Amino acid sequence: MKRGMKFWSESPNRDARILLILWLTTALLLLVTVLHVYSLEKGDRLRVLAAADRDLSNLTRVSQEHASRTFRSADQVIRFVRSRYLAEGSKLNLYDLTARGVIDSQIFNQVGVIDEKGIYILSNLPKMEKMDLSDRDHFKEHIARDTGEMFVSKPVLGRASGKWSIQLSRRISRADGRFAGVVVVSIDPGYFTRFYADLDLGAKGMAALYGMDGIARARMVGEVADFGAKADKSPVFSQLEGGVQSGSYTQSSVVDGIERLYFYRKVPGFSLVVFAGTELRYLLAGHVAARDALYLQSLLLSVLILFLATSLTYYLQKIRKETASRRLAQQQNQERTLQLSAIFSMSPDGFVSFDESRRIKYVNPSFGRMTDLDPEGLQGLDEVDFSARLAAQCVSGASFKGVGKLSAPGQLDGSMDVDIIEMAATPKRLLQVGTLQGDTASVPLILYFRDVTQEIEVGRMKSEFLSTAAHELRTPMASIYGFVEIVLADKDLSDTHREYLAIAYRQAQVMAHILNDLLDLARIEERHGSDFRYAPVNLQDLLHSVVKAMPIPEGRDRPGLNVPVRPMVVSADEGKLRQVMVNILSNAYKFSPDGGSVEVALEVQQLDGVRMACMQVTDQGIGMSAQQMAQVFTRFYRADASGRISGTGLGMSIVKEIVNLHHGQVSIASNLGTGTRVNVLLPLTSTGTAREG
Amino acid sequence: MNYILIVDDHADIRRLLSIPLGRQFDILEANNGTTALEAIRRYRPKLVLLDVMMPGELDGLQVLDAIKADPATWDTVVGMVTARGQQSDSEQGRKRGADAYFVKPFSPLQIVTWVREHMAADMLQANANA
Repeated sequence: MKRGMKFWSESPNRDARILLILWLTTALLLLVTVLHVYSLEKGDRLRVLAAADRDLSNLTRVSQEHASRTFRSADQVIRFVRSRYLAEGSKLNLYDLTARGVIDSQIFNQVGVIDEKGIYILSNLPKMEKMDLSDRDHFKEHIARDTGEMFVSKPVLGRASGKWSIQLSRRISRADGRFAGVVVVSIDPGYFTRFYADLDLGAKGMAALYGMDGIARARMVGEVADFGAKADKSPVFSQLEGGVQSGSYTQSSVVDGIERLYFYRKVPGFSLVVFAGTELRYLLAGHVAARDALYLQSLLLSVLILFLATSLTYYLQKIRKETASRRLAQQQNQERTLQLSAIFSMSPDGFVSFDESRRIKYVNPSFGRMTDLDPEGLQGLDEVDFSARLAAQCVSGASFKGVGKLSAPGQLDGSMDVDIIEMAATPKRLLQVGTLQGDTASVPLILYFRDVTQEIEVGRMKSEFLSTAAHELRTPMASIYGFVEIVLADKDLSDTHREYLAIAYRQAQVMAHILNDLLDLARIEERHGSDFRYAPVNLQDLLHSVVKAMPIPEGRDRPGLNVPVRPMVVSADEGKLRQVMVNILSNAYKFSPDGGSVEVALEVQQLDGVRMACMQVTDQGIGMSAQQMAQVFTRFYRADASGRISGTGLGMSIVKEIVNLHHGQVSIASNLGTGTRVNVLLPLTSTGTAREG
Repeated sequence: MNYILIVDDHADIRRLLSIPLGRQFDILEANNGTTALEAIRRYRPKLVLLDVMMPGELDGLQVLDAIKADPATWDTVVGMVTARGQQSDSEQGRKRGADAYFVKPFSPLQIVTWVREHMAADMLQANANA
């Protein structure tokens, strides 16, 4: 119980702790999930970007090499033409050189010379028109001085040809450094874009060749080539100005607004940069799909975790409540049990309770003390073993006859048969045994033991005293009665003296009767019927003889007798039964002083399913009030307070004692002024039972 | 001599019986069992009125047994006088050979009547023998 109490008081704290741990765990799980998703996503993204970066780096390296070689070979042609022009002047036949294969015209639209005035004077094309190209950038660039570099123009849409071209030019300087014109190689930027088209950069991937001026010389986006796009606003060019050779970055294109991962490389020796870019969305498409799936997964996982935690909390609370109420009920139950066991253990009476399997469940200490049996040792015994154990502790004559032989429950009022057992221990110990039928299946039977040694001893002493006292009174009574009688026999007695002595004589007779009744009663009580000699008694015969022998008051008729023909037999002490009937009949006459018949009848009656012989004595006398009836069996009670009717007040007490000892019953029905009926019921013996009908 | 022996430890009871009987019969008295037996053997009374409960070595029933066991005295008429009124007591007395059983308080006149009947029969017999 103490432990239970402690647990009970600690329980809310413990639950709070459990809940705290639960939710901390939940939060931790969620955090881990988020972090895991974040790191997965980031890792994947980085991996994708790194792979793309590597690819782009390789691709730009290829296109860098492509551009570099292209421009070097163009420069080669320019240098060759320049040296030939310086040697041959306007006689230089470029067409012939091309036709002979000296000039490779595969990748160049035109190779030509512009003279110092800006007139296009030589060309490798068969049909050649002189034209003024002095306004062109690739001419103007070289007039002032020799930069020593090959000029690469912006893409220009040819006025005549309608084709895009890029002009590559170098200054022609005389030996004295005078400006002598410009060698121009016109190159188709499609040459680059066609190469770029072969690079796999995805749908909106971009490969381009830019000048350091931020203007695209050739640009390929997907399947579409464009030329001359301006991207000079892009911060990458300022970085390139700063001397950066290569690098990568992510940016929304200043040209088409598409966000790409770019890689760029400067083309060494030229003011050119190659770019390769893959659309970020395309690049990360797989990653994003995987990421979204991961997000969904982790969201579901988080929801699941939260759901589980919430459910757990809910059920924990519910269980706690249920446990609490169950514990409360249990505690109350326990307290009640403790109270009951305390009561039982303090009780001076012994209790033995049996459980549903009819084995001993509880034995209180008093029972142990009474019987010298160890209560612990009796636990779990069945009725038979228990009866044997208890019987072993009893004296042989008054032994325990077994649980099954006990009087039926509810007959412990003392008037009925009560089982008394005597323990073998000294001093003498007498126990009254009763059974209580439990009203629940779990406690079907309780045996109840009461130490009645004292009571029985006191009862015995009382009876003994009564017997001795009555006995001792008889001798002095004998003197009084006898001497009065002798004196009364004297003929010389005066009438007055005779009258006085007659009164003394009569009263002495009454006193003798009282003494006889007292002695009878004391003896019956003392011996509890042990001196009764039971034998089959035919009630018809008994009643006939009583009615016949009964002293009848003068002037009254003998009782009328109405008995069935079939004999009714009971097991009884005939003398005692005779006394019963004489007492009842003499009352019937005494209490009907004005006469009237007295009737005796015999019949069979059912009492609680048992066939009983019923002897009835009916008078037409003064009757009794309910109050008087209640007192009939009280010792020395006399219904007649006037003193006119003589009696000891013990007659009906004796009747009741005797009938009870015969397992019978006495009942009285009476009305003031109309008479009284006394019923004496005795159990019929089976052999003597009159079967009717 | 036709003696009647009255045995009782109470002098009053002896007197109660000896007064009415003494008018017609010769009375012997004893106040205990032992004395009673001596008197019976010495005087051979025809009839003994014997109290059952007496202090001393022998009570009334033992004296009765002794009388009935002795061939010289077994025909003595014995009337038991007792304070014990139980049916079983009187039956016991009769079984042991008592001729009558009187319960205290008794009617002396009734006892006189009984004694007279027995003594008369005895005397008739005695006379016939003589």
